[in-house]
Amino acid sequence: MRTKQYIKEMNQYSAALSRENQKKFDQILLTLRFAPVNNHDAEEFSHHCLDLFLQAEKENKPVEEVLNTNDMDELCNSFINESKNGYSWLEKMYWQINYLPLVLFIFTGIWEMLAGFLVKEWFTGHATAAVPVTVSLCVDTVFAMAIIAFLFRKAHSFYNIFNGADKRKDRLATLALFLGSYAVIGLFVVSQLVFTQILFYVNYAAFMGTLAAIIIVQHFIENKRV
Amino acid sequence: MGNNNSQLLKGCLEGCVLKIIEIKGEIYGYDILKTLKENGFTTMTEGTLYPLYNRLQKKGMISAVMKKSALGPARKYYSLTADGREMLNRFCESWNHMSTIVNQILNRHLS
Repeated sequence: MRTKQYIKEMNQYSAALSRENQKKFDQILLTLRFAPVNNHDAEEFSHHCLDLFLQAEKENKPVEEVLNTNDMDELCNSFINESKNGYSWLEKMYWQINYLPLVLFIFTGIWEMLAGFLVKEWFTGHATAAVPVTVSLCVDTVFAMAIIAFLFRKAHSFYNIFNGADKRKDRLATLALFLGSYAVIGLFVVSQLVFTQILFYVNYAAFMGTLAAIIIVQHFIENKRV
Repeated sequence: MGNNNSQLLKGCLEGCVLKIIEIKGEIYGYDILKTLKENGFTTMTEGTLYPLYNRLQKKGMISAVMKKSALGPARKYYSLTADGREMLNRFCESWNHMSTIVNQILNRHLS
């Protein structure tokens, strides 16, 4: 089955789960979707877990008995580690960084280059497609990648905090995210002001075209299984 | 002690899974886990087994077919291929040979 068929079936049948099991299933889904493993394998395993959840409800058993573990994190980590054991070093590297072309396309291409430079140039009458790659742009891009890698790694923890019963943790996490956002904005502003040295120029259409091609190829490679 | 046992069991897992699939003919992943649990693999989870099924499928040892299920989501049923049967035979030979050697040494200590 293709990845999107797995996702379609999960969306269709997960609504039948009890509220408690829905939360546990969402926890598994979130962990696996942000894990550095093949997307198809992650969706397939999540789909299989959904069937086990439904099986548990049909047999009137706790889902932990059917899954043979009380710890959903342990279940997911076993799957992630066992899957990675079967990967070549190239595959392991790819699944760690497969989101980078999209980050470059959206953050660097649209936000930094288009909104941050080209739109200004076009409005002042300069019909240019050449964008200066400054030290600031490089630094900001690295920041953005690090932030996204951090959010991916912590998505599961944030989900547990914001959906948990501990309101104090919820408030502290909200405050931390709020302050963190302002700190990140501050870093971007400082970097724009301080690191103004131009390293080279890049053709915007070529840059975005290359990234779009990479993203499209990625999409086909990651969804090619039948 | 528990950790030693689970490491030993993990080493035999591929062979045991192939044997279960051979006996049952065509079997769903959850039924493989249930059979393993009933026969002593009490700490095994789907998180460990599912990637193993994918690896065996990639190597051509087992084949899989999706079938509609009464519960809703389609299920993957596994069956043994000719290559899988050959691998299972080799595993059984190795296991018999190794267990004979180990038992000889262990029994020597006891006597």
